[in-house]
Amino acid sequence: MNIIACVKQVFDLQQVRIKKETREPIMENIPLTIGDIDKNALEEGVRLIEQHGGKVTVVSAGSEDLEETIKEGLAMGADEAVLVIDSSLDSAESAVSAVVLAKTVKKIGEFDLILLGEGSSDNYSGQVGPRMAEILDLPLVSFVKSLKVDGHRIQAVRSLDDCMEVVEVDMPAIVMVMSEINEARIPAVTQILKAGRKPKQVLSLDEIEVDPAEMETKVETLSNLAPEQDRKQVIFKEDADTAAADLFNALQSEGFIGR
Amino acid sequence: MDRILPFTDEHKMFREAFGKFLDKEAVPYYDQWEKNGTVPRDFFKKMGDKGYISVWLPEEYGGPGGDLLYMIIQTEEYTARGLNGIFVRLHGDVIAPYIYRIGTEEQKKLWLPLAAKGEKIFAIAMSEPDAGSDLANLQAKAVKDGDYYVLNGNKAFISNGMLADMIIVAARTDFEAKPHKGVSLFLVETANLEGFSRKRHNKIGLNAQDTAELSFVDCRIPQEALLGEENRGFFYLMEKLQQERLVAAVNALGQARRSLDVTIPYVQQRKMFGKTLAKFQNTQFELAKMATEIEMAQSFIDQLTIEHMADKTLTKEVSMAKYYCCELASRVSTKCLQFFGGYGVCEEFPISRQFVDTRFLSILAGASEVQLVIVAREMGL
Repeated sequence: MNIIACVKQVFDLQQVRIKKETREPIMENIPLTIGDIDKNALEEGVRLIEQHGGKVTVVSAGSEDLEETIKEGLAMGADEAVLVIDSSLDSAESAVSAVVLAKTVKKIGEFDLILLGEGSSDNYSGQVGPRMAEILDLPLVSFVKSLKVDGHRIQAVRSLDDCMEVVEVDMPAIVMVMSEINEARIPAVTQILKAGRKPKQVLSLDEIEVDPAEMETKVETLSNLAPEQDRKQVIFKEDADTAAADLFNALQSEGFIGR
Repeated sequence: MDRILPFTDEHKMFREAFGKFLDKEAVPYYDQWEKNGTVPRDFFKKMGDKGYISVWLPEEYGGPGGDLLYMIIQTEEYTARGLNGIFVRLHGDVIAPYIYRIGTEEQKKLWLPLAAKGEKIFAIAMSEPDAGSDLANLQAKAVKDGDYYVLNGNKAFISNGMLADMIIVAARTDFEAKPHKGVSLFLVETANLEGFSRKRHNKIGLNAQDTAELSFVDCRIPQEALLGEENRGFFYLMEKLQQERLVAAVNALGQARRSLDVTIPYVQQRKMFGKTLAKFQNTQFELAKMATEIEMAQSFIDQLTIEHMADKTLTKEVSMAKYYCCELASRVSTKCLQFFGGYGVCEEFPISRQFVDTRFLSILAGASEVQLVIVAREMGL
């Protein structure tokens, strides 16, 4: 069984600080990592391979740092990596990522299953999977919280707003997983040490035959600011009984309690 | 300031992975381990499953074959979380190397994979009630009797002593020779060993780390359990001291840093006389002095690490580092605790644990005074 896990290189969001005055994120010296839900997708691939045999190829597109970042995916159990590296892919929008990843997958050729996270850790648009399915003309199963493989068929449980849906589909197919599908493993030392020695193929945009028109940016970022916290800073200075009553009234008038 | 140690991507990945592992498998349970007086066996096994024990051990004996920097990273990650009493390092990075270095092939094949998997736990018994750093004066004795040695003696302050499945015991085997020429080492299995008993020491700190007093009365040890050559034990024990002292210094420096790290947020929010403690010049000066000392020590330690990895002899320098960093850790935690006032002596505040735990550092693995004797001797005094 050949599984492709598509992952995205993102900033380690836990280390991003916000500039107080401007609400802009401070991105200097923030390490890059693989997105959290992408790790769940990769983990699911590795687990399926452990059960059914085969190999997991981790696929990603991004800037030069990607060769380092992807080692984490190899340490988690991917057998090999296929990367498309180009400075223009740094923070590429979903439509571009989908084209690049789909063409990379075509270049790889044989596969049974493509796994992705339901959305990237940074933009969370959730568009790359559906767009890839359209380009590759493959069935797509999204919001998957559990997955089983039986021969050439997969059975997936989809977690929807008010119900669970069980679907079966023949492979090849694309599956987008939710974070609750598994707990991504912490790599063992032997895997970390082996990661650097696992096969890694680096492709250029030319090699996967991407047309420059397909790389055209259609999304413009107007602003990227942390949400404003509107604090009223009301202080009740009276004695405890009065202050408690005033606090209650204030919360009630805001509609938080005692409607 | 960037550190000069040659950390690779793999080292960085390992630091992140090991940190996550500790956050998941140790941090939530550590308070309970402190109460229990021991780290559970299960934790050793979890470490072993991930290959986190004896990371230096070559693959042929069941290890991953990493370099010393992995050990440094582990030490720093334990101490950054105040997990001062987890002595898996002693088991995997101090004791297992004796077997790797001087054991027979059979001993290596038997014990090293078990150590790396965390399936058997090791201790080393050198200190005695009347002989700590004075190793040449050991009283425990092993007398040959056919295919066995008969072991008699008492050992004290033995880390992992209660948990240990196998203890490397230093005992006198030649009673005519000069004191340091008559000591041998034995791989003593504790299961079903007649005449063996152990008792926990109740300590003021490092409570998760089990420390025991051991007693051997006419214990029959098969001759195959002799580790290395007979009567060369003292020399074997001396040979690895450079690395042991270096790592002890790394550990102490990490604990000093942890004390400072838990204090800074506290002084930034604790108010006295209308302003935070951090705004008082005394606080600023004291914390700035401690931070300076820690960073200066870090540079020295990192340089030593590089030279040690290049196989240089650093007898004087590692003793300086062990002495200085251990005293520094104790000094920093004492001064930091003062900023917490009454809260500092309450167990809920992590500085209290730092205070008691760091007090051990200048005593164990060669007391400060022993390190100073060595430094002075190396200075030609």
